[in-house]
Amino acid sequence: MNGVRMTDQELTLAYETYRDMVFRVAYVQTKSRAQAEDIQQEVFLALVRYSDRVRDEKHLKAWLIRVTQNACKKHFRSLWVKLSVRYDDGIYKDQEEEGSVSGILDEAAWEAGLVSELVERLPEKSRIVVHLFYYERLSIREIARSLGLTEQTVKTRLSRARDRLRQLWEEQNHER
Amino acid sequence: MSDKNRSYRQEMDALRVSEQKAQETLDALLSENERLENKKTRPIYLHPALYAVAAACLALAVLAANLLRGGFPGVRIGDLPAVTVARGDEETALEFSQAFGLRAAALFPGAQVREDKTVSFTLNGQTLHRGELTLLAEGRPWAAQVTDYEPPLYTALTGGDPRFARGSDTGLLYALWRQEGRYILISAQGMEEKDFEAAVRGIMAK
Repeated sequence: MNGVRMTDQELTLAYETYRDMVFRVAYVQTKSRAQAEDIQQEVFLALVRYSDRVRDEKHLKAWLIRVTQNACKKHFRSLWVKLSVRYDDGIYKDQEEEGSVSGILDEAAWEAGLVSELVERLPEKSRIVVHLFYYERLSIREIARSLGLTEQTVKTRLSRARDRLRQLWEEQNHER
Repeated sequence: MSDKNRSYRQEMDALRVSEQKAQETLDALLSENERLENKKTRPIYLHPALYAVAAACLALAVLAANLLRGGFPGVRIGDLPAVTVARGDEETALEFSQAFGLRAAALFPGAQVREDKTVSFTLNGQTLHRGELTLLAEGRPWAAQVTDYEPPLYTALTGGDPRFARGSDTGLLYALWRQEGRYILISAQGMEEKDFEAAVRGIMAK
């Protein structure tokens, strides 16, 4: 309930319920188990401090994803990471384009065919959207709310990610 | 870490916070929660004359800001603290505590009560209560919480059916449900799921 702090018992239950989700969201972005574990701790400590702002369970989940996303951004901004980690963000430009989304939403089979090795090669912005859509099974609207994006941006990123995955898949098969 | 062509879902399912880190995090969370709980906001007592001085200073500041910006500065209601600890509502809190205590005694016969407390507070002018009980029943630790407001995790409840959960590493079992306008959360350790569920169903029937 908004305005009331969580008790120890509620916090423990919230942690048990969402810790792996938060960890995976962090891992998808950092690609580092150690860093993802530190980020999940940071996120839940933030929950302790701001638990009185959480309205309901749906809001809690979206709040956790958003705070995880922000913690990952902070992580990427740190000088150490800039110097020590190379991550590929050059595939897509920052500006969003109106893209076709036909076929994304109704192809459940897509999820089964997702190959982790290829997903890991997507840029961070696309990876998180793919993860939330196919793994956490969040709707476009929920992803948009959690990440602070417009629904159109989420659709565009999903569409691009799928095109890129198809391309990577073809390249991989061609190499064999 | 991945085998080539391993499915994304399989890969993600296998990804979990290590037990050691999970325990470390949980300890840190509970310790931080306790610290914040103990960090009481003490009321500041001012001489009555100082209120007038403070009000005048505020009015001047608002006027100055108004003149400089050429607009009227808005008040951000969301920044104001919403919760204050209530005093002088002992009767209601006592009734709540007694009802909770009686219920707990009926639910766990022969249990050793370790802690039993009621917390009352006001939120947006409404007085709310929470009863917390920890006890040892048949050698197992139980924790129960009853509130007359809806905590966030309860919003997924539908109807009167309890929601059961199991902590993956801690082995804690949870049940939460709504009953007679109250929200109940119970957790227990060291039990089989079916025994726990049977105990909860028994508690609900009382």
